[in-house]
Amino acid sequence: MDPLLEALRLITSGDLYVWNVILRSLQISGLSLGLAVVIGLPIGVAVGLANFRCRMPVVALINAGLAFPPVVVGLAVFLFLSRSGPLGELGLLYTPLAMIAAQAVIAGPYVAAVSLAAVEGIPPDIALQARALGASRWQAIMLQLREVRTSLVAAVAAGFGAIISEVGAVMIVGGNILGETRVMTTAIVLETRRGNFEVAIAMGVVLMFIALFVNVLLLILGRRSIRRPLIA
Amino acid sequence: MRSLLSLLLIPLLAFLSAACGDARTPVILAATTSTYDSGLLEVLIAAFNREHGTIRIRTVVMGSGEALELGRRGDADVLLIHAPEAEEHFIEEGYADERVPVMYNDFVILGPVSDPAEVAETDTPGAAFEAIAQSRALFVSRGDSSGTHYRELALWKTARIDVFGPWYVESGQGQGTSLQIASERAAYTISDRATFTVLQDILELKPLFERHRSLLNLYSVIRPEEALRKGEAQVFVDWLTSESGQEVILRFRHHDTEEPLFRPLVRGSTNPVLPVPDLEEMY
Repeated sequence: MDPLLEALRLITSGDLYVWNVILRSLQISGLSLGLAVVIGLPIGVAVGLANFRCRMPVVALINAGLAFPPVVVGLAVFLFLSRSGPLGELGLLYTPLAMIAAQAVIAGPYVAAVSLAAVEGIPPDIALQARALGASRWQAIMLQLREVRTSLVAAVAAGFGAIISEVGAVMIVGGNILGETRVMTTAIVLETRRGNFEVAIAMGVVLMFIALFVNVLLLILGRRSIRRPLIA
Repeated sequence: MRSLLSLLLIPLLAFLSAACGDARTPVILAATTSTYDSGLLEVLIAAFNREHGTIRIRTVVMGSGEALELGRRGDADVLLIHAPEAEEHFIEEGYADERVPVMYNDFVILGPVSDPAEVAETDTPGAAFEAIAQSRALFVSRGDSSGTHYRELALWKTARIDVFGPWYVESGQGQGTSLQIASERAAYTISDRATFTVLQDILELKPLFERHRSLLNLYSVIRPEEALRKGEAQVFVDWLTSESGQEVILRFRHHDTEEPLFRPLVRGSTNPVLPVPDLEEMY
């Protein structure tokens, strides 16, 4: 049978193994993205809006985070979580939590850097005008964020892109354990090595579809936000 | 924005509590690619869990050298590997009390059907490797400190070859990938029999030298001293060498091949270190 057809059959027939890996992948990537957004977005926005001494080195540091090779982040997290490492007591190596930690470190700088760039681009008079019209400091900030909502959504999308396609770091810290830390990318490596091309193709098709779907979804969300009135 | 945050945070917290709340801390098993990629370990662990449902095993797949390193660091509770000399060294260093042989098969020297180095004409593994080196035909090495890589290096030593040229390719990958590289590049290589049997339908490689007593591939299980969950790890080691564990190994087949991929070694009660089985006799 043609491997591509067999791959499509695996996806549509709800093959247990394939779907188990897909769901695990979404779960882990979703949680990593959540963590990266919760940490990265406030940092990006705060640094973007604030004016303080030594701002340049902080911005440089965040942007440098974009260039961290994911596999080196994986190695660092591995050494930290290894039983002979500083956090070894927690016993987190080869668990989904280790993968979430590594992926959050990888995606965090993407979210922070893109949101920082977006917020920096806001014309300063918007905040001044809002304050002049009687908005509180907090309301002024929210107003500014609403202005760049599309770019903030792009920041989340950038983080997601960095996570879902990552294979080196999750392989090192997760160990590709069936039912626990096996995600689509690591499963593709394994199944290709095993010669189970149809399974690898099935995962590949779903992975590309998910990447496309999430980006389209984020785009639509971003669009919708623009149409809303600026001040309620 | 706030609802979006809680949407992300709630599952995160639920997941954290679920992951931390599990009382059954799993045993981490570091196993070689050959035992996992062939599908044996999945079957073995499923059978183990039918008898010992409370012990969870997490399998991490890697080369024997890396597995031993994890054992040293305390990151693995059990090792299932095939690098006898490195294992002995591990024990001498005091990282484990003993290695328990569990099963075996053999290594196969593979190459393109055309066999430009005339490996099929040789009569010892050393001579086979010498022929490959002299013909300068491509050879794919794992190059990853795995059990197979160690064995390959030992064979080059036997063949008294210590100068390698561009014909010597190091893949740095697991056995399956290395076989596929050798097949695509019409190169010679060495593999454990299990991985080759599983993949042979998609490979254009032919066994050119095999079934020689010096190509024995012995798998042992080791419980490192640094292991965190020694008790549970020992239960697994004991089960592997018990009759039910050995029975599963004997009955394991890839699809419907006649030959077992791995052959069990039942442990004698008075003799903990087994005599090396005679391959020619067994096959």
